[in-house]
Amino acid sequence: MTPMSKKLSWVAAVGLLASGCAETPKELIDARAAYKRVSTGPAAQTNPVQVAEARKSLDEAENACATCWADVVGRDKAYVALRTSERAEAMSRTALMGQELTSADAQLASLQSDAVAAGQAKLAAANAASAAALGTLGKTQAQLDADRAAAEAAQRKAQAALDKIRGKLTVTDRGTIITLPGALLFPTAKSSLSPGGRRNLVPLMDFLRTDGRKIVVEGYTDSTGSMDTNMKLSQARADTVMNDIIKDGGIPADRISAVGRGPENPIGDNATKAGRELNRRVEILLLNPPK
Amino acid sequence: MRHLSKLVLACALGTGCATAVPQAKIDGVQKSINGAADAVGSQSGVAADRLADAKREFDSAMQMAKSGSTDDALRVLEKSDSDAKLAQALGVEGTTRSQLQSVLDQIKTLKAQLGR
Repeated sequence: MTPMSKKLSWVAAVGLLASGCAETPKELIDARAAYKRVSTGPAAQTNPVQVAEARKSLDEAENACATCWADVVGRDKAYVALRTSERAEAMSRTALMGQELTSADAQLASLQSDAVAAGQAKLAAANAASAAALGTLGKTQAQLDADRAAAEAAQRKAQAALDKIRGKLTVTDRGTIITLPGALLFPTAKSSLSPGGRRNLVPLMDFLRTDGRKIVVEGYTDSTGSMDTNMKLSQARADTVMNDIIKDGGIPADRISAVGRGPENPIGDNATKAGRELNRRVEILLLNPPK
Repeated sequence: MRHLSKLVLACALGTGCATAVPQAKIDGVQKSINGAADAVGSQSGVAADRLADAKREFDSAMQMAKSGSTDDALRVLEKSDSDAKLAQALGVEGTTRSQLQSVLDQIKTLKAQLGR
């Protein structure tokens, strides 16, 4: 090699090295951009320590890249600087989300508290409604008990009155039957109440009024005379008693009916005077409600 | 004498022929990778990608260390560590985002229930 060519070789070598140093690696460009982003973003406030680490890492990369023979080292340092800036950004985003999470947690706790309060209010309202319903039920039950006691007292009173007039009160599956001897209510062959007959009905009125069941008044005769006459007489007597109960007992008309049955269903022997007297009767039925 | 000087220079510029990668450095990077793996968990995306990079670089660095390329190994370990720490930060970010979304969903549901 001539002295001239030696000199040219050195110039070429220096030129190559110079051009290598002048060329900025892509990794360093990315690292610079990342650092610029992180140092001007929220991370500067939320994560200053990590941003400072990113600055230091970028400085090391810049220094390494400034030494042309350490090309690979520079690129790797820039790689590390890029990651350090990206890490600072990620930590900053996390910090901001953490603040949002804290706020959201507080809002959630408040809403949960409201929801619990609303649930308790709803429960309290339901309890109050239940209590009111129970109160009403209790009152109704108390009323029912009082009504039952009044009816029982009226029945005892009626029974006592019937005992005096040889009447009878019978409890059957069909209902309660009050049997009144016809002679105590009506003059012979008449269908209008005698004054004594009306008095005899008075003690029954309380019982009939308080009982509340449907009432059927049935008129009966003995077998003496024609069937037609007996049917008409028994119907007329039943109607008379029914009307008296409606008028003096204050029983609603739709709660009571009357039917004449003539000589049906005798309870005494029509061949004897005592039996015929038993058969001439009025029965007041207090019908049990259908099951 | 001139030969000896060249040898010393070569060692100085080369791969650090007389020194090994410090165990503390290896342990530190391994710890970063383990922390990142915990934070990333079953997440996918960039966090998982960075964790994979960190592991790959760590394995590569270990190979370099084994073959005596100490300086290269240290350089790649630095890259592995930076990827692991970034993966960890991204993993924590992903978890925080999920938690936040969950709370926001609960708020939305409760608001609807309360008619707000």
